[in-house]
Amino acid sequence: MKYHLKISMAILLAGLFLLHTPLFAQQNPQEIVLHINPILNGKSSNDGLIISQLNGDSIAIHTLRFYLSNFVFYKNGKEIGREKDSYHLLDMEDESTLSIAINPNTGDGLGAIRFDLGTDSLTNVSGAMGGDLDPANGMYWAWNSGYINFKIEGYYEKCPTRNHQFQFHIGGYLPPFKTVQTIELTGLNKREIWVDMELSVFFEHIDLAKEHSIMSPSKAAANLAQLLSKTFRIHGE
Amino acid sequence: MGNKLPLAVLFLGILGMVLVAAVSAYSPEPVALKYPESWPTPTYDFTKNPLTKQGIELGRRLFYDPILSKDSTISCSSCHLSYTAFTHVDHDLSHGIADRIGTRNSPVLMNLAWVSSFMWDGAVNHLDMQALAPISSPVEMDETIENVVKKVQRSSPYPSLFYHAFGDSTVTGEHLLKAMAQFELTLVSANSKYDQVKRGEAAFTGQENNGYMLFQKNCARCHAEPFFTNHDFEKNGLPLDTTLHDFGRMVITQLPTDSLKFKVPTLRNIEFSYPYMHDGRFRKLGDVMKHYTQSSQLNIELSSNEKVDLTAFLLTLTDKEFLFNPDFAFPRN
Ligand code: HEC
Ligand code: HEC
Repeated sequence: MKYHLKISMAILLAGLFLLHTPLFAQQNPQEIVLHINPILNGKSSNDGLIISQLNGDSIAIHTLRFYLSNFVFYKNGKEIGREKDSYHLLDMEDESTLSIAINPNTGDGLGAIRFDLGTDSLTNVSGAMGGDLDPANGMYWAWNSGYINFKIEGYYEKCPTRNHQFQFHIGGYLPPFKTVQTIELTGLNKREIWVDMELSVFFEHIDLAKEHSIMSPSKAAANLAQLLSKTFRIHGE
Repeated sequence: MGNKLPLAVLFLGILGMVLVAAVSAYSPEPVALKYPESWPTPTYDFTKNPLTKQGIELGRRLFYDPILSKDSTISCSSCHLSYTAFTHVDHDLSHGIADRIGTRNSPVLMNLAWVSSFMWDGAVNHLDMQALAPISSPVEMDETIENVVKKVQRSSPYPSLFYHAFGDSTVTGEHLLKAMAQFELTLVSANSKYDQVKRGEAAFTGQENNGYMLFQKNCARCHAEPFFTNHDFEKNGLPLDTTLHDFGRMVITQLPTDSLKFKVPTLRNIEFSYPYMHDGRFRKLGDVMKHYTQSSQLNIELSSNEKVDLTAFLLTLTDKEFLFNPDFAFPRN
């Protein structure tokens, strides 16, 4: 009897252990992983830093942080599910945040995903929240309520600023300066989805020598948000 | 068969441990916000941040703790003093860290559960998020919430207080802000002479009664009962102070029609919340009366006797129980 007790305890412990290992969780057959890869002219980040050229001048991006939220899944053109508490803060400096595991419960095959770049207006008026939405993540404006949906900062030779810095903090949830953008990725058929964020799409449309600092909701911020949404595309397409 | 005994002992042991843990563990005591039956239901969503004894106490401690400022010299109470309806009397513009001076007069804090737009221009859209503004303002506390969270985490007994309030000893921005909001939500002022008259427990003097009628005729459309504010932004005819260039609500909405609109402040405890207006430009209620009767924008006419009567009514909005409530004062324990 004593022997039996020991065996069952061991089995119990082993079971508990297994439940807690990431290995076990990863075997979830429903899971789909979205990898976001920020690049500039095809160059990825190295240790959280992208160094490249823009119009023949050197440019470096050292900060890239943004929210993806409200994931909705589609199969054969029909909505088949939504992610619960769907908020993800992605940070180029922390590679683990750039891969998002989602569980669309599709059986197999997922045709399309829709999500928001940024946070929706309800989120912006709902008071203090935790996790990725915790204001201590530095993605919240203190003096004028609202999330910073997107931060991109770095250096560009032609910026007439101190240390040639540029700083874009893009946010704002009230019309007419709403910044949240909806993005759709279609033609999906694999369990791992590789998405490039080609930032040249953004930089080609702004003149960094003139426009280099945005820190509050405005028409300019709303325009830049639109540009940012166009940087996403499935790798290889 | 005797083998069953160890099993039973083990089972009882585990049960005992679970029970002991449950008793000393997280068991917050719910608190219901007290307010007059005749008032509307609060606009604050308590389902997202239910009031508890532990949460309120933690929030009160944080409100009085200079740990929230960069050099540990300034607490919220430096500018919001309980005995003066949580405002900073004597200063027209509030004083912050290293004697730096802000651009606005600190408002009173009361009946905040019915407010959904904060600051003189409505820059803040939720009570939870309000504390972020003074914490990070370079002329107030000059800190960052990221750093405050780290400092509070290292400072005993905060981790244990956070555990008892929220079931987690890890300090987060969310829980810190929610605790502060809980304390601020309890600041209900509803026992002035005016309230007692409304409840049939006291009577106005003839003068106060006349003042009340003048008030309803001239002031109540903006300073609406029972909060003595319509919680909206209005222009009350004050000319722009050209040293401050504060255009109020327009700064936030960028709409020209919002130029020089400011949040209508409550008039409860007005006796103690001088100096008056967003920039503290008037030191006395007499100056306020003078402004309202001289301004061409509002067409308010009051004889000097009527001004006296109206002032007598405004003084019935003083709530001594609120001002001297020991639950709101510096926590001594
Ligand atoms: C240096 C002085 C100062 C300090 C310190 C300070 N405040 Fe204030 N407070 C003000 C001023 C000034 C305003 C009005 C600001 C504005 O309208 O832009 C204000 C506004 C507020 C409001 C909005 C009230 C309303 O009805 O709109 C709340 C709530 C508040 N403060 C709470 C706090 C809390 C909580 C703290 C501590 C974290 C704090 N304050 C620290 C000066 C201060
Ligand atoms: C059109 C709307 C409106 C009317 C009518 C109005 N007020 Fe005001 N009142 C305001 C606004 C807005 C402010 C804040 C203005 C500012 O700070 O720039 C204010 C501020 C005040 C203040 C200062 C409060 C403080 O805490 O600083 C007092 C006192 C006051 N009003 C009394 C009165 C009286 C008495 C009347 C009637 C004779 C009156 N008001 C009529 C809109 C109004």
